[in-house]
Amino acid sequence: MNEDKVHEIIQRWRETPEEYLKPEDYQQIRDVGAACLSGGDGQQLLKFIQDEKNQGIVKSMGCGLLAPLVDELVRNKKSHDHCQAAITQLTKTCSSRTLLESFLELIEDMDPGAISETILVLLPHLQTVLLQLDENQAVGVGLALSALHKQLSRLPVPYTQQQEEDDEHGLCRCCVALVTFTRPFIDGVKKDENCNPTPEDDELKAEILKFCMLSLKEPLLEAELNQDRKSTLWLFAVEIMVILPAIKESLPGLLFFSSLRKFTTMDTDLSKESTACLAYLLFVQLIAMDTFPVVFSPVFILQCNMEHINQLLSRKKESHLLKGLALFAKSLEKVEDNSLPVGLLDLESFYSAPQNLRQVLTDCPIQHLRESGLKVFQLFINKLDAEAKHKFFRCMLKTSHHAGVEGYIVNNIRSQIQSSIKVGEANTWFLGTELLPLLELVLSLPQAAETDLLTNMDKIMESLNLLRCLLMRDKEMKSDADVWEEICRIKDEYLKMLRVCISMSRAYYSAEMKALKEEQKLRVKEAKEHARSTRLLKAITVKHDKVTHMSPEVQYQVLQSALVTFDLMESLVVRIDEITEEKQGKPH
Amino acid sequence: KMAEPAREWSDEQLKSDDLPKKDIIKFLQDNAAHSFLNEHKLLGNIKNVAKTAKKEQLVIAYNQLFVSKRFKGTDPVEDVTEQVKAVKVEEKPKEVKAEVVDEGPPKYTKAVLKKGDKTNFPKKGDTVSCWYTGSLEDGTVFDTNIPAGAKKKKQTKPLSFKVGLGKVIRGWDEALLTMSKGETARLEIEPEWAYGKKGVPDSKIPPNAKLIFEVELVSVD
Repeated sequence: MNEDKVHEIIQRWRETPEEYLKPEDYQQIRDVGAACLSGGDGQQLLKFIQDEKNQGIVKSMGCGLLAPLVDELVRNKKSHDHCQAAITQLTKTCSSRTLLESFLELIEDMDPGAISETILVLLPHLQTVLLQLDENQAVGVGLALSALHKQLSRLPVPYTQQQEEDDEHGLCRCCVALVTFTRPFIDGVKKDENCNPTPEDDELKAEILKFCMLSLKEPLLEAELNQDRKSTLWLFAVEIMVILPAIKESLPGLLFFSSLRKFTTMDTDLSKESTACLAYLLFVQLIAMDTFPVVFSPVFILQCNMEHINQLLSRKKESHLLKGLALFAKSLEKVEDNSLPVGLLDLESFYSAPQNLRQVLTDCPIQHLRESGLKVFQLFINKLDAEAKHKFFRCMLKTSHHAGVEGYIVNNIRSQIQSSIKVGEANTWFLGTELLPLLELVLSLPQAAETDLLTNMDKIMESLNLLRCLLMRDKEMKSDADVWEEICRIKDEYLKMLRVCISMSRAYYSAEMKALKEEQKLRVKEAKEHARSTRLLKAITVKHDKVTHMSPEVQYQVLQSALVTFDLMESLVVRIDEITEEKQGKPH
Repeated sequence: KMAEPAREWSDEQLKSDDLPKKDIIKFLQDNAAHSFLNEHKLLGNIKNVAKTAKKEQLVIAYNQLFVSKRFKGTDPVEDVTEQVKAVKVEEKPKEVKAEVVDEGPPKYTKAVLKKGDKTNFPKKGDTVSCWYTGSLEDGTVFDTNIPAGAKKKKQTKPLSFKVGLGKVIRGWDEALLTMSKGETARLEIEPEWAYGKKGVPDSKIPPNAKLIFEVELVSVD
């Protein structure tokens, strides 16, 4: 389009009243503006906007120039100054309401490859526009923050220090910019608190709270935060924790008593994850800890945090699990050992969180999480009182269906028995009649004689160890004759079954080994014959097509180690029998 | 003394396959003296006894019972031992609530600084609201919810929670139940009823710290 044509159009627009402007006109100004910028004529565009004679046009249709100007700013550093000046002029001239609409459209349609750049460009201007709104400011702020956050959450969250410093996708920069963006609105609300807070203020507070909650979920819940390394995202977290009291949201209110309030503008999943992150930031990273009341009992804090812990442990994301485990450990450390009563285990979160933890131990592929998880698991056990331990052990033995976990629990039971004996109490949860239901669970084979000894090895070995300890302490155990009789009965049944199981397994594996050896012999024989008959031909190595993908050597090793395991088990059983006989021979 | 139980089954009925072992065992457990059961190895869960005892043994025991007349109540001190030993082995342990045993005098002191209305005392479960300042023995203030400046107090809310339910440290739970609406008191709480051996390192409370709170009970709901 040549200059003359442009002048013609501008002239026409100057003379057309607003009501008569058509959609084509709105589109045209946009196109002309874009063409101008791409042609390097940004100065011209600025002049056009600033020209007094064009104020009418700018007022009615100027918003259409917003998108091309922002676009240009994002792409071209050179045109920075006049583009900025142009947008500033627009924000002075156009109606704030229409400008807001244009900004919202812009945010929604922004180039996914230039999210952070676009946000950084438009934020200051958007802020100006919102501050100019004389009514429905809260709604406007809310819409803007939601739209911005939606785009922000598309950016990948850095998970190493290097990534965070590089900030390749600009997430960190945007978070900082957003905080700056919200500041005047928060200050406005704070100022009004001194006089009289209006319903508009309440609305604004609600919108800002929503933004905080959204940010807690994304990116903060995904981020790796470390109080020793105050990264940009860490500082963002601090800012969020500062904003909350500024809008009169108390931390105990959000964390402990949130069931009493309804987050009307958010769905429950959002608020659950957000408050879980909040609990983590407060109790683990100690952000704003100095503002938190120091009157709550440690058990109450643990109880409240268990919901958040459960939420964090229920997701299979490393970032969530790490935080969940840390919060769990921190909350448990606050309570005394052997203090948590059995009634707590009836609470849904107190049942689910350890179950989720157990699942981390058995299913999570990330080793360091399993290791931390195990520490937390033991810490949890240590904090339960005797009755609660008893119930928890029974529960785990019945529900975990995993020999490693079961073995670990049996080991714990053994420790409890030993310490009960040491303390010398006659009737505790780990001696006397209360011990028997536990023993039934410990000394049992899940599929009776057909139990796979190898998969269940951990539990069986621990059970045999426990049995051996019990028998060594027969003096203390025999104080209750009926109980001792029951123990012996349970033991005898178990060992009888186990012996059958071992001999069956041994027979099976020995047969397998024999078959393998025979197969090997046959193969060698075949190879020799084959070599003899094809001496004149080049030797071709034939690849063994194994269904198991294991070479015969490896298979042999596996079978061999299985047999060794059975021997080991049997030797323990024999030892137990020896001890039993020794003790029977001894006079009482 | 209990009346002698009736002999329900004849020898033929006893030996018959129609009569399950556990029925005989149940009868014996219900009617025989503890020592009798012990001697005949009939103590414990019926299922387990049924596993180990042979039918012939049970028949013999049954007949023996009526011959020897060693029914329940014929053992010396039977009642007490009966109660103690009758705990069935396979039953889940009953839920025994951990009793909070009050050992000794209260581990806090209260000095009234301003009298309350002496009418509205909170009960367990009521929601109370308080202004408070907490300090250590050396005077360091570690926590307060009273904002600086009287104007700000209008905009800030006091701390609210349900009293007497263990949500706060024991010293608070106990003390607040003795305060009436409007009362301001100075509480000195021993570590056992505060944060004990652990303290709260994250909030600058050292181990075994005695805590001093000035508390104003604003409202009771």
